[in-house]
Amino acid sequence: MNLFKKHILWLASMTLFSYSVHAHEQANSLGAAASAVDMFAISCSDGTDKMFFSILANKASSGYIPVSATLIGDSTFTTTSNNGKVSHDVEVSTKSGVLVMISKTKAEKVNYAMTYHCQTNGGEHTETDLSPLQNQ
Amino acid sequence: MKKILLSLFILTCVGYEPMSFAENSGLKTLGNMMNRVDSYKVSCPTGTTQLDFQLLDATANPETALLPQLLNAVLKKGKQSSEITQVVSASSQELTLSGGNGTYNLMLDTMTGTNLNIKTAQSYTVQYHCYNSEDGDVNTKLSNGLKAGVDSAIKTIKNKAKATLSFNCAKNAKLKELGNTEKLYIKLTNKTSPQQTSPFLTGVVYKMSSQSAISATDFMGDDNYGDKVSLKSGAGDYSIVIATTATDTIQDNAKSYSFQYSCMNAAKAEQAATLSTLEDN
Repeated sequence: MNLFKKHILWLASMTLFSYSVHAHEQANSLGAAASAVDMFAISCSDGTDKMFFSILANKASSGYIPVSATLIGDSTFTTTSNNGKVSHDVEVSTKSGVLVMISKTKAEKVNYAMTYHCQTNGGEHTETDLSPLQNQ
Repeated sequence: MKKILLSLFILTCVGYEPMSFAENSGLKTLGNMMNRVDSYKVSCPTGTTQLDFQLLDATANPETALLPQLLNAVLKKGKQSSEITQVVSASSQELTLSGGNGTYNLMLDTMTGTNLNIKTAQSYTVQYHCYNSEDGDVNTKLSNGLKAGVDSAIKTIKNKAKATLSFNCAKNAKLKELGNTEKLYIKLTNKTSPQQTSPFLTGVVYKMSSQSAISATDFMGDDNYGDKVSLKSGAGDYSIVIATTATDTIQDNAKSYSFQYSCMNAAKAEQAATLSTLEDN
């Protein structure tokens, strides 16, 4: 195999490798009640040092309303999406994962999407699972 | 008679269930800092099948209410002007101006008074009557397409904006003396959905070891605990997180609260519980 073909093969394998460890996404919706709360458990496999999380709330029927995600682990962090903008990326130190609580303030249904992944301190993505615990 | 009373007494004793008294956290506070939570651990002994939980938002300070969105409205005709009226979301107000025949202007703005932190455009409708001296309609339709007594199509206005609607109450010669407009009546309806006026508290009860969780909510303004929730995850340590939904930094978001909790066994009897504070903000 000549050098050019070897480079192409290497590039293809790197592309596939990158594709297989891209961040995870999960879309859901919060019901019309102002007090509606969704909850998820994000689990990270052995070797994990940290987790990244962000949320994007879609436009509701009356316009954009703030949607907050509270990440509960050894420490607690909250990040909010509003006006069509992705929330700031939360970095959480964790070995095993966190509980995520999604809430809002307005009595109106809103769709949202979460982006998350677990990784080592070296940047290598680790296995990440999401389990729904409460869907309102 | 005595036998009957004795029987009733015995039956009552057999069927009697002692009241279950929940443990109470006592009055707690969650500070004004955004995105902060309080957290606790409840340890339930062997035999526990579930943890019951109720939350009370004991905040009394009305300053925690969010400012509403509103429209500023005034009717003008020449040098005449009505009083400025503010119409908050999900409400209607009436404006009148006795200016006779001619063109009136309804002037709206969202420059001041409205909560500019809420970026949602406001929506509204208008209804008009050009009334004569007997409160009868001088005309049934205007050149702007509006029909007397009928709400207009929904219109919108963004923050820091102005809008003017004109109403030409022209003389109706067919009605002779009653064809002169005495006053313009406007009903302005703010169709904007109101924001939740106050941040409220949410309590999350969870057990990571069993990946189970449940939430409870309470709104301020009364002395009643919110609905009871039960997390059926057996004995061991349960975690409780108390969070506020506040996202607006221009107000005082501090909260006072308390919660009730019970470690219950299969017979629905309360077990001894231990409460620890993990995070106090």
